[in-house]
Amino acid sequence: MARSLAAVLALLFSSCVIGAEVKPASNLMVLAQSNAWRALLHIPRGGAEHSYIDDPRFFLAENGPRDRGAELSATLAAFAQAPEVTACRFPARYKWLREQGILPANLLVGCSEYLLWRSQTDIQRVVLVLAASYLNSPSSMYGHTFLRLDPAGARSESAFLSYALNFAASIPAGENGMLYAYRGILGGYPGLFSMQPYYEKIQEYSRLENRDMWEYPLDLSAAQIDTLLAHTWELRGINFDYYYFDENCSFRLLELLEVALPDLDLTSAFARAAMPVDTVRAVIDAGLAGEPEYRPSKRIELELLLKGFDRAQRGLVKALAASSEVLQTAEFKRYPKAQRQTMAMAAYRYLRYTDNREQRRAAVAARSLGLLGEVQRHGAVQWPLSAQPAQPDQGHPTSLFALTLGSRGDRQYSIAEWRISYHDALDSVAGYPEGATLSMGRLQLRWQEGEQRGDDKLQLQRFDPIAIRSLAPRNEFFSPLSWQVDAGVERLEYSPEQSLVTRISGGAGVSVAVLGGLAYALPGLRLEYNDDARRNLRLAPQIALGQLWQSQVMAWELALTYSDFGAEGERRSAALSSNWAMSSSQALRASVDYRNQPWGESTGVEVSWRHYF
Amino acid sequence: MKKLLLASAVMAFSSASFAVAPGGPNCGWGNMLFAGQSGLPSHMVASSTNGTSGNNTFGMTLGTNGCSADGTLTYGGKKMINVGAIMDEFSEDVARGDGEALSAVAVSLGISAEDRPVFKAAMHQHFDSLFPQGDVSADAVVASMFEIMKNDQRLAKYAV
Repeated sequence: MARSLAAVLALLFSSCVIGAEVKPASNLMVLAQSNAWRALLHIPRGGAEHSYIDDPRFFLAENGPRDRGAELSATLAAFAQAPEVTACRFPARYKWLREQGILPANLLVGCSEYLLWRSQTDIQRVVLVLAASYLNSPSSMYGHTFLRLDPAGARSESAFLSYALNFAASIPAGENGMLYAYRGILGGYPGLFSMQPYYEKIQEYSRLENRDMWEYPLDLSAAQIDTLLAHTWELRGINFDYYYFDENCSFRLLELLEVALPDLDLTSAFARAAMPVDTVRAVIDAGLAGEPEYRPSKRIELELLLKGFDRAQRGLVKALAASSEVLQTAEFKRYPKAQRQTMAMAAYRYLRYTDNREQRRAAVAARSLGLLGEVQRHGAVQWPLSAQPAQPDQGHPTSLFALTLGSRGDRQYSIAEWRISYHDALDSVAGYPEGATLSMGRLQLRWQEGEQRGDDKLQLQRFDPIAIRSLAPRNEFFSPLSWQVDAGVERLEYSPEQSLVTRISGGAGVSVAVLGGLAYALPGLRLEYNDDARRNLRLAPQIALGQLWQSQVMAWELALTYSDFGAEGERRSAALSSNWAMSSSQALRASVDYRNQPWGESTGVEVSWRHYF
Repeated sequence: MKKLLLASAVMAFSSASFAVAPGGPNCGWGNMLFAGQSGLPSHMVASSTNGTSGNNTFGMTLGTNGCSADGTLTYGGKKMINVGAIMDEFSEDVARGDGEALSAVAVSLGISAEDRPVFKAAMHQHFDSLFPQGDVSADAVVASMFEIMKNDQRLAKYAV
């Protein structure tokens, strides 16, 4: 180390470019330990002294990923040897070292590619974008974040002229789902930053996946944006390992922001897991983000138009989407112009919605154009914007601790519950997708009163690594699948042996909007392994029926379940649960239930205090 | 994989040719109206996995895959947003007279703030000549757009 520093110093002194502004070695050590240098090298705050970047091309010193002092020395040596080439390769390092008075000005003037890129991506504003949760894609269940870069001047007036800066795993084409899940979670894919037109992101999220987007403007100075872009250039084609939970898109963006604001600690809270919405909250809490813009999905825009129609008009919209001839019918023409225009637009949007994932068909294209022509015929028009739902950052925090007191039959118990993430359908729906339950890492420990004094015991009641339920209502326009899947271990209460069984269950069915809520029916199968049963492994058909009412404050669910274990008997349950969200971080929940199981009938009541953090 | 990345990096650096309209399937001027998924960027992999397809790692503005990577193309020597990539959004905006895609086209053509409403109104009024049939391609739409501008007193200056 000392020797290499001496070599660097010698080089610095001998270099006519770099002149006399050399710092003594001790200062270099101080610089190497600075937040700015740490951020530039993507070294974790505290903890392991090993860069998150796994790509040797990013480092100039052999042991650069592990030794920031050596990397600084090697960087200075490279600047001494080939100042301009090094500056063009590492413009952010150059910028910072120049600000420290170590390197001279104007080393970037010869960087034609970098300067061309910077002149074309002349950014005046950076926006943090959160694409909402999407249960139908494992990688996007918790949402996704990326940056929108708005160009300067008139080009800032339409987001279609902005760019997206995105960090994502680079997946080989045709990778199968299982391998993806495995490598995505445990590592194995390279992660890369990439840039693309922002409209491609709008097309991907808002149109193809029908996900809402939230655009939070960031309060960054021109100098900070300059640093961020310069560093982005350094990361061209540089591989990070991609991990689903921690080193993911959202974590990488925080790292990028720390390069622009080196003294701001955004990352250390997310060293183990980075939920996209939590990282957005962290950026807001740091005072960096302003009020977000809401970009509703195409489906929301369509639903807004449909909402204004009566039954006959809805029928006409469907007919219009199916046949252009309906435009000429008396039934359609009897409506006033403005309504015809809105119906034609709704039919157009519906047709595009249903056809989005199909190959292009000439007949559909002709029909779409006919509907647009009808819209145009009646003059320029603006439809009201859809009301903005609760912001995702204002929803309840994603982790949960709960205490439950319960009574079943004549025995009392208490349960301590911890859920790593994320949301269930009875939690306040503010900021979360409707009808969604996504729980990962749910653990329940139960303190059970015994029949006699001294029989009290503490035991594992339930551990569910994963439970997902997606209720998406069907109607005449939309026919999504509702589905659920969960896996874990649970104790069969009051079974003779208090058996702890391992189970995996899944089902798919329908839900419809009725009585101001959602009614659902989810038939499926449950595979259960029970050490205490006559046959250890059983596959039981099951069905769950229910009615769910969600709101920001109160939520109710009535749920009936039935499963048939053949010779081991049938299990039935009926439960009514209610959740009162007192604030975004506190809720009270209560439930009553009745169970009819092979080992007897019982009724129970539970009250819980839930704390989100 | 590494080889691919390297190759695209080399291409990115050697290609200053992004200004040349490439055309071809799913790219640029060849795109047809309402191409649906086949007209969307090939993000099927990306959207099901949050992944990136790899050839777009940093092509921004430098051009990577023969298609405009920064979303702009050149028409008659004039650089503008790749209308072929936003045809669906653009046609909807023209039909109702305003919208982000229509604004983006106007701004990318360098139309001043005062003249933008004129441009939008002109496009809206000439919807039928811009989109004469369902299988019109982007180059025909842009050619009509320039015709309409040339025939408009306020807009003619932007069409040269």
